[in-house]
Amino acid sequence: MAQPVNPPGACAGYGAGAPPPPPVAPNPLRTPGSDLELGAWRGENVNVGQVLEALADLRRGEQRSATRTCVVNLVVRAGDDDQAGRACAALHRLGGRHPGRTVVVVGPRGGGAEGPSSIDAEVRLHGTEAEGHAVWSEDVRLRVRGPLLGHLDSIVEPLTLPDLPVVAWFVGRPPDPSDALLLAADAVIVDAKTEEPGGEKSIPAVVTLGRRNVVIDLSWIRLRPWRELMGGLFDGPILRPFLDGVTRAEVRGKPGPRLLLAGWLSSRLGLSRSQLQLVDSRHTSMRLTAESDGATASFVVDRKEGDRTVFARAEVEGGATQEDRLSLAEDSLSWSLAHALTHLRHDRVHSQAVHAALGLGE
Amino acid sequence: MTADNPLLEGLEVERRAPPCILVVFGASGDLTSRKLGPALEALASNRQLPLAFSVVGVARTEMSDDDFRCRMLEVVKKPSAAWERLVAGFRYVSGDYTCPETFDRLKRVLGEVDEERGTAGNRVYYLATVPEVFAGVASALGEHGLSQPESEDTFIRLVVEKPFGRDLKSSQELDQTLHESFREDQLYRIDHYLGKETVQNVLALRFANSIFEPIWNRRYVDHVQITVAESLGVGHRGGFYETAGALRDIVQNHVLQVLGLTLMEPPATVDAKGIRDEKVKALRAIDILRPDEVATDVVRAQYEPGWAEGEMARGYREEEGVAPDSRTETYVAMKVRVDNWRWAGVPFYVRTGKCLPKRITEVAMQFHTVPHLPFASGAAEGLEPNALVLRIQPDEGITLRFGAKVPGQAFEVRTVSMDFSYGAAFLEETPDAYERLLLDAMVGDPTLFIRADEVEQAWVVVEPLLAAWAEDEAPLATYPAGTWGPREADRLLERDGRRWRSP
Repeated sequence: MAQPVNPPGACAGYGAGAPPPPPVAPNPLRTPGSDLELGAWRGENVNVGQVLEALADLRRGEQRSATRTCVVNLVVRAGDDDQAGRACAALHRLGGRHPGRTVVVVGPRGGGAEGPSSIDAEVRLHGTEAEGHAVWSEDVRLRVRGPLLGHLDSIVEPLTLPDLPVVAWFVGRPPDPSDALLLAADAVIVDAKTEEPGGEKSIPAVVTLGRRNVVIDLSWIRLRPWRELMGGLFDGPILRPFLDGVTRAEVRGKPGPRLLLAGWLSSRLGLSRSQLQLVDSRHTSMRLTAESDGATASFVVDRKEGDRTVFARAEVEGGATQEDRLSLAEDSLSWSLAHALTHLRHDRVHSQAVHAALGLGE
Repeated sequence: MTADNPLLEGLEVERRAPPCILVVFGASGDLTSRKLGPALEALASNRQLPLAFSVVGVARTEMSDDDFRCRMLEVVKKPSAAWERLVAGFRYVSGDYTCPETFDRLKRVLGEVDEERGTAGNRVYYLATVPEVFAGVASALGEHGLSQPESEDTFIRLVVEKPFGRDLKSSQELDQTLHESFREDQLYRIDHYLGKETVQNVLALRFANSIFEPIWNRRYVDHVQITVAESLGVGHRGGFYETAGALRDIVQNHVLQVLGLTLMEPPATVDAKGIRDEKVKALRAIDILRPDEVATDVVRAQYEPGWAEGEMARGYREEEGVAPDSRTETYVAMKVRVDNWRWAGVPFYVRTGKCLPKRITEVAMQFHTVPHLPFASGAAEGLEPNALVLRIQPDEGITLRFGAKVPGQAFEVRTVSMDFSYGAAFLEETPDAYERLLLDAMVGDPTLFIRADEVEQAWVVVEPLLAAWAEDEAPLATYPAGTWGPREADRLLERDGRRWRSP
């Protein structure tokens, strides 16, 4: 049964007001052309074969000349409609998105497998323009019920395009290592900063995942401005010597980001647990105290309440000061997702940071 | 720099310049405002310039530091906040390049900026001036003790814009002067074509794929066509163009660089030495034309009035700054032979010109026809030989042309194209060529810059053409603006039983 589907709803509430003065962290994706829904199909209690047939029919029926240039299969694993909606909205805000096929699987995670297995499906064919070429991409949304939720690899594998990497994005908390979907994934996108119950265990979960999968952590990407600014403060011959004399570090923030940054500082600078102070706070900040040639200096990267700007300041006692700042992207989820999809590879520095974070014993 | 700073490790996906001062000679000129300024603004916005960075502009135009800063802010319509903050620290030195006082002042200002910004004595000089002053500026830098770093930890580099001389002799003289003050490894000769993503992608296509290299030779390739076409005329650059012409302006550098990347053998490593060694070897394999071969294998021409892009375009000799009896060529087509195992017997037809129907740069490799077509007579009528086309600009991509069966009961074969477009596959911003090359110069990666022996060999290739044309008094061939060149160029290929592609 094929029937029209409403276009995806736009997400409200983003960035009114004047643009902030500091530079916005660059988005790796260029501004795309307008996105156009070329066709849609919906079916209840269907099988994978019917979904594949619907995809083929939509393509065949579309008379416009278009190129299908795909670079990735993205599988979004969402626990409920709310998570799926947020994930889809973020993907659509990427605009032209990474061309490819997106499969969104909605269904309870880690339970709720009672009753018979079934799939409801929605398929959408999108057209967008890139460099004067019409480009197609496809979204498949599956609501899965019953024991099938424990065998998602069996429905995702047939739906992926051949010879392209499969990226599984687990919205919310990181997956259990036994999650069957991991078998179908070449890379896994997670978020160490999750608000879900059990979120405090996200760092150990990321470490476990990293033993078998390429893990890309959205939280780590979002912390990039903090890391860039702190690293940048030590550029140049005046302040560089202090980097070898860091005596103390204070990291504030919510558990996930706080641990990630503390692990990063610890692994990069060889700081011991006693040199690190971790403080719970709404916003993320770092302060390093360092010595060189008898002089003491402080290096602070901080985000002010209600401001989407991160400030950095280095101050040598009675001497030079250096300042820098960076505006955070208005839409941090889309921004971090764009980064994640652009750099699908193992990040050694992240891996060392999460391992170090584990040892901090918070 | 990131290797020295453990906190920046892992963030070098977007490369970052080390602390340094970029000294731009010709800071009030067109290149600075059109290319260098916007490229620096983009680097600043992408956070690829450190806090310890500044630009010192040098030019004859009288200007204060603030005037220069205002001018640099205006290089883009909407300057980013990062650019505004960076520009606030820029300095300007006005003065004649022949006056020692100019360089005394420059030395003082550089010392002040080092003190204020922590730029550590690192310098990248950029010659964005007219070529006549290249040698003088380089010598003056040497004489004022500004050409060599003070310690092993600091660097001084000199970026030289093309043209690198007007011929072999003047190029060698320029090199000799540059080498009196700078070592070869300090010299970064820039040809912005090499900064284009798709030019670099010729290397990726050839050496990262196993299916193309085995057929990249005389056994499979019938001939290669390289087209560097511009749709515009000389515009206001008539005065300059009169002294250059298409051979010096495009063939000696852009065309031969693209040709070098197409011809070269696989390098052991894709680094500065590996790539440049192989390019020089490839250029040395190009057959140097005898005077009689220049007459038969090279066509030069000038555009005449004609309809181009829907408008009536004036002829070259009617352009501003162009002599009414000018003999400067605006179009060159030539047949290049390559004397090595890989390419012996495969002609490379290159053409470049102004006021052609469209702006396009491509390398088209046409393969041999099959030895035998096993189809019924007429089934493959009009079937073109296979071709692999690397589109460098503006619609970057790759096209593979092959034969496919026409659907239906009959067995009919027709030519079809499989098209790959970069823009459709990668939705990432690609850096502008100047952005890439400026950062390379600051980082100290000379891979995409041209070494002295490459420049020299390129002049050796075009020198016989310059010499023959200097003696030749026959009327120049002409072509109407908005067409693909003169009839003589068509005959160049027809003689070999071939024809130019319609790109």
